[in-house]
Amino acid sequence: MNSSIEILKEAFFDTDHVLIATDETDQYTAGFSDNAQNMWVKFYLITSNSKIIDAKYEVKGCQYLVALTSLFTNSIINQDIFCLADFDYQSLVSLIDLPKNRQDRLFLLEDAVKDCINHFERG
Amino acid sequence: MKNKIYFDYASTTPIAKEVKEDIGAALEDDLLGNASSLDHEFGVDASQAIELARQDIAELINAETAEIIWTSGATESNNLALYGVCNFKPQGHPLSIASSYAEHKSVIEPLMELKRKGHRVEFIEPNKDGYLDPASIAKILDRGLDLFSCMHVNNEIGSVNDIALIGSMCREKNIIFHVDAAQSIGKLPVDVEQNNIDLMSLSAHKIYGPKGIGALFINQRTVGRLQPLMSGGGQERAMRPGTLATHQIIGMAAAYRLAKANMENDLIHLTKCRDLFLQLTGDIEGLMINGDTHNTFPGIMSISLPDLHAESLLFAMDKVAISKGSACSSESDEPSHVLKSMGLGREEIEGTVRVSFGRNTRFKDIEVLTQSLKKAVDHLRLLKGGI
Repeated sequence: MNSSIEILKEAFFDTDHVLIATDETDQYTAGFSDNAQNMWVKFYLITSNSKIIDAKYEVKGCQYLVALTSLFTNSIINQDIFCLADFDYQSLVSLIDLPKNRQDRLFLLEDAVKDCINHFERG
Repeated sequence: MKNKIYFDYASTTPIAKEVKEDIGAALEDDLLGNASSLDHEFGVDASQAIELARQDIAELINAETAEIIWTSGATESNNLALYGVCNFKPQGHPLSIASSYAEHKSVIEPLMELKRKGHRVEFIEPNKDGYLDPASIAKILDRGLDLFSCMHVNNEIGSVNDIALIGSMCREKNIIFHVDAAQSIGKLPVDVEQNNIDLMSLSAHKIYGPKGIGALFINQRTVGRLQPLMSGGGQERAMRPGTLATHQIIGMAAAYRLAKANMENDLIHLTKCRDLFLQLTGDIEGLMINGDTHNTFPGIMSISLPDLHAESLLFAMDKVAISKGSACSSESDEPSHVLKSMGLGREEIEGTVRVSFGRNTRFKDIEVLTQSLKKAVDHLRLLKGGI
């Protein structure tokens, strides 16, 4: 069992699902959110009949936001996009031992996901 | 021992070997006495050791021994200087005080409190390089001040105020001049007599001494006495009551003796460290140096990468220990008041980290630091979709 700091580091340095220049963004459904501290998250999902077959992200922010985004993205592949609305974000909190004064990072992530779902629903 | 290379000397420094030895010796039974218990030789020995230590502090700044008051550190010294001057005056006589927005919070917050209590307090902005322009100071001194307070070296960006010039301007107008020398003492020469300084806050742990001890220089001729912050004892000429920490004081004196002996070589070494850092980071796209590299203390570098977030930059640099800025603000999400006062924008402030070098910094450590910084920058830029 990895400690929360190891999980945080691993997720922070994991770039498997980071959007790269050669990715065709046209085929993704995108979502975005930002905050007053100049942190932001962009989500890109490819779905087939509402099933998420690929997910990518771009992120700027503290290590917690980066790790939350990375962990979240890794966990949603093959899920139904409509299940994201009920995603248990608190499970990520305990996984990386998110400090109380950094809980707002979770809202940032949640808002980007909601924005993505909205875009998907609008087609 | 942590597996990281230390680059946070502006926050605190490791205790020098010689200082540890002197503290160790002071903790032996010979100096067990209370320096105020002069009825027996234990107390007398402790008192004598403390007076010798006081002499070391005084010598470094060209003061009289009686002008040095022991405190718990520069924060207390700043508080004692500012409250001490204001509270010594009879009630109902508000003083007129000025300082700058670039000061440490242990100056700004007492001044805000004094303002709430009815004193007239004004702050001036530093210039874009982080130091105080003589013209701005002259303007505010002309308003008829009682006290002007500023730091010598800024703790976040290393900018150096011309305290000799400010001191002469204050003395000419009979204004009490307080200098927060926490970051400069033992690193740059300071002469309280030549620089017309009336009050000066001193620290030990910023120059390889122990934490929890500092001093306040009180010019006997121009200030003389201050109202103490605490009551309950007559120590330190009744201006700072409490049993003196003999071993800490001896440690501070050892650090000051070392600083006096090494100051020139330390400064040369720090300048080489700064120059190497600048040379090795010159190819990092978008990297900004905050402040004027020619008019700063070379041991402190403030750098901004406005497209990145400082906290994640620090996290990504797992081989080195650097900081976002002032140690007193590192837990806060609030943007640095110093950088803000210099006119930096929110993105520039959010992307700022402070690197500080010291006596123990090796050139090969700086190579590790710059490699680590470049790797971190590349990683964070990849995360946000390239440059």
